[in-house]
Amino acid sequence: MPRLFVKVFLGFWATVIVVGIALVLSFVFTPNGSYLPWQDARSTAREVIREMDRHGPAAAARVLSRLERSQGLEACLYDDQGTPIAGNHCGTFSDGPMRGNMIPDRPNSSGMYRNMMRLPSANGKVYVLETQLPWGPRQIHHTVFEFALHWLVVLLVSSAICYLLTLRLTRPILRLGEASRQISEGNLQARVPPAVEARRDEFGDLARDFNTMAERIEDLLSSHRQLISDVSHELRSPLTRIQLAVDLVRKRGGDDPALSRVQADVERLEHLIARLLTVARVEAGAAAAKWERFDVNGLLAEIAADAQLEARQRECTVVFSEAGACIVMGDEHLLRSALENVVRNAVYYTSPGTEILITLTPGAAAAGGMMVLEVSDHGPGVPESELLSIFRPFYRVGNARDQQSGGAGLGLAIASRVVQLHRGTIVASNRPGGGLQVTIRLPLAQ
Amino acid sequence: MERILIIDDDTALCELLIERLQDDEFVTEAVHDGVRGLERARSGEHGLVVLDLMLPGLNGIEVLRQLRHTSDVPVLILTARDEDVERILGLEIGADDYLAKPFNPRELIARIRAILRRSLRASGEERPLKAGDLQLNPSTREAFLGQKPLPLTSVEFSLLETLLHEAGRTVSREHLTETVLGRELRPFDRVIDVHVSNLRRKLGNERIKTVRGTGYLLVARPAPR
Repeated sequence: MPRLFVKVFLGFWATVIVVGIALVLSFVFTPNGSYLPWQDARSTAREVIREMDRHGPAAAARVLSRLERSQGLEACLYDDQGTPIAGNHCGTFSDGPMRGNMIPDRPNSSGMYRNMMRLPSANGKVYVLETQLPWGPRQIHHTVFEFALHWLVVLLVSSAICYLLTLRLTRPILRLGEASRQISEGNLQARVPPAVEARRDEFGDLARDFNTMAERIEDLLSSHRQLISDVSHELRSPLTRIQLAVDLVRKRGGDDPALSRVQADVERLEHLIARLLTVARVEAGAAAAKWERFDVNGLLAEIAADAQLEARQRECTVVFSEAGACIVMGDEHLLRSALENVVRNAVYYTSPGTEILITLTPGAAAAGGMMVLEVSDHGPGVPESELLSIFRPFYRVGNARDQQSGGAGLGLAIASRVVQLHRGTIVASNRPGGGLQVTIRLPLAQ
Repeated sequence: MERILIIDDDTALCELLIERLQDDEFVTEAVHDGVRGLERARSGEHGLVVLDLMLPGLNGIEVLRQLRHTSDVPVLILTARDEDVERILGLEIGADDYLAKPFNPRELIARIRAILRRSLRASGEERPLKAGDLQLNPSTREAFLGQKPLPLTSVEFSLLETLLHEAGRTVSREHLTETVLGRELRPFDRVIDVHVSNLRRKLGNERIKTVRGTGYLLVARPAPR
């Protein structure tokens, strides 16, 4: 259950219960009497007198006993001479029947309501009924079961009301949170549901603003993607035509070395376009990355197998030391292009006939739970001063290693961005025996 | 020689392609929009269709989808976009192979030849192949799973044929690409994997196992009695 919900609910409930207790206490500690019961007193008295007339004192006493049981009312019936006729409490009215009319309906000095009524009966006799409500909680007359039942009802009703109130207050917040979490996880279609949007309060405003914002982000990203796709198409179409034209000229006996130059440059351009598009996609992808759990070891096995094919042309071997499953939380597509770039880079620069080593180590969960991936080649390496710069886009290492390079200098830049997006680190270093080693650390999924 | 149909809205490219393919003795026809392209492709006059995915009117994927309802003419898709999704979708719908623009014209011709070679091989007479409840008839290019006929595209048929020959043994991705697609496996080339997953879907029941980093393996099941 969401924490906010629990907090608000308990807050409300505690308030209701405290107010309830205070109310009950205030009733408990005031005398039970109030004006209203005395209205009934007159009819009660008539009933007692009627019983007296018809069935005598014993019947009147039974009525009085019943009254005492049900309402806690103590009473005594006198004749008009002031002689007690019926009642269990005649002794407590120590001052005897009070002559005269009604005494005020106010507690006497000991906090007790007393009342005295003179009433004529149907057969002409006059009786006096004196009553008093003892001071103190009326609940005393209730059984424990009734007491528990009352409180149960109070708790149930109050918790139901608090639950609904809390739901109404916290639901929009939870919905908003849910939508923003989904968007940050890459589901750009996520919106706050219309039920929240339709509210005519600040929550409704917030939900509408949020949805407008989400729509704008989605539009921006999709037009960005459309642009990438269009640019890609527009740039590649002429390149395709150039390639065809060059091939036609060649086929017809044009064996000018300049044609090879054109061919090579077309390929270089295509390579550059592909990489630039990847950068653009990584940037767009960072905002729309699809986060899921996947196994880096399996991914690397595929990349290594592909790299092996590429390496074979240069008589090199790719050696992959597996580590068993290495589950990482991230965007598989982005990480694939990152790791692919690092491995291909190694294949590209390693000296002919050498090995490329890919080593994966799942870090101990104690050490922050990072997996460590090392990709080493047996190439010329990179000058120490430039080890950081090689992760910058279009950076060219100033040594011979790059003279014949057809690379656009974007592979490692892409890898670096993707790894950072996954809260990992990427470092390059020169191996003692020569060659470059790229070390990538990525946090393992919890 | 086989007639080839090119469906691409880039008219200049089409002119160059026709000229280039002519040098290799292919008779080529070019159409520049999807609707007309679909109409021509359905005519059955061509041995192969080269289809660009970005087309005005009806896009390439839709052309391919509708074409596959009625015809199993081999299709090679071209794409200038960088989206893997589109290529894979094209292969899943039933394209034989794809080529990314810009392409080397020699590569295009090599692929056209490979596809044509495979579809011509169909006429070669061979004994039926059997493994468990699977049966292939290379002469008629019909496949049966139990008693039920399996609707397979031409690529899928060749793929299953190759796997059946080696049933129970791992067949490498290189070998599959070479025998089925008639070309070398390139790095980061996933065409054969898409075809395998299409075939796997049609066969069901995990008959084709992936041997990670190596290739695929067909598990023969005994025929139900």
